[in-house]
Amino acid sequence: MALIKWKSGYDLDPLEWFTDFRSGLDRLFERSVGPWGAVKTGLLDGAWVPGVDVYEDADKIVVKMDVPGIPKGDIELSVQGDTLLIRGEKKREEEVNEENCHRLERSYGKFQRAVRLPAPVNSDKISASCRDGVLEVTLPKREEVKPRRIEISG
Amino acid sequence: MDERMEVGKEIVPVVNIREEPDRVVLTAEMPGVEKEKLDIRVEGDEVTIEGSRSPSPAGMREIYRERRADAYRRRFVLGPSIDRSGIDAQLAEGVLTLTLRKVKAQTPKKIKIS
Repeated sequence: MALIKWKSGYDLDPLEWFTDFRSGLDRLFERSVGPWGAVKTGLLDGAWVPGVDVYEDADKIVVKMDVPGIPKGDIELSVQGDTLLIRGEKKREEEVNEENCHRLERSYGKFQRAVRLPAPVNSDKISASCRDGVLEVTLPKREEVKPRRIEISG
Repeated sequence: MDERMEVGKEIVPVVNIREEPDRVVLTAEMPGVEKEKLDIRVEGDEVTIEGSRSPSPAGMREIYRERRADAYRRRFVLGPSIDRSGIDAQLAEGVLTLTLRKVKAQTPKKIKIS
């Protein structure tokens, strides 16, 4: 496996990746992630990368991530500056081995995603829930960056 | 072959299939699908699993989107050893577990020769 330059904060600019992502759609989900995937996401094992969406409105940012079969206890969330770091482990919950296996498509292992947030957030008010295998993180924006109407006087 | 791809607006869910002495167990990843939006049909020799999930949150702007499609669909052919009436489905944490019991092996009938 190629050596990956370790960038601090697992630098990942979502917009930059978006452009590459459009052309590399299939490669993102390859089981054996090539150098491209590894460099961009700072993978630990190179095994599995869960898909992520980022949305925003005037008050908040919402990040959604597919985490099928992962109990919330196996997911760790933290915010550092303008980056949301999601890490965890997807563990095998069934006994599939060479003798009894017909298909083995599901990926497992440690994962880590660094999501660059489009606006500063109030880290004390972040909430997250995990339902039906989807992690949803709600990050309220800091008051000073919320859009405000400015009155024109005179 | 990687089948976890989006064909049009649908996702082909990834599955594990394992065989045990009395059953075949299939687990499929369908994150975001609630029980009410899951549909499993057996038609002849085919079982179809389908599910849908709600699209992006209303009123919010998309900054970045990887999870595009909102529907899952995949079909499987059932072998003759599967008991069509013995299919059980469980959905938890976005993973569907289908347990397909096998037809009980019939003990050969001894025919008396008179």
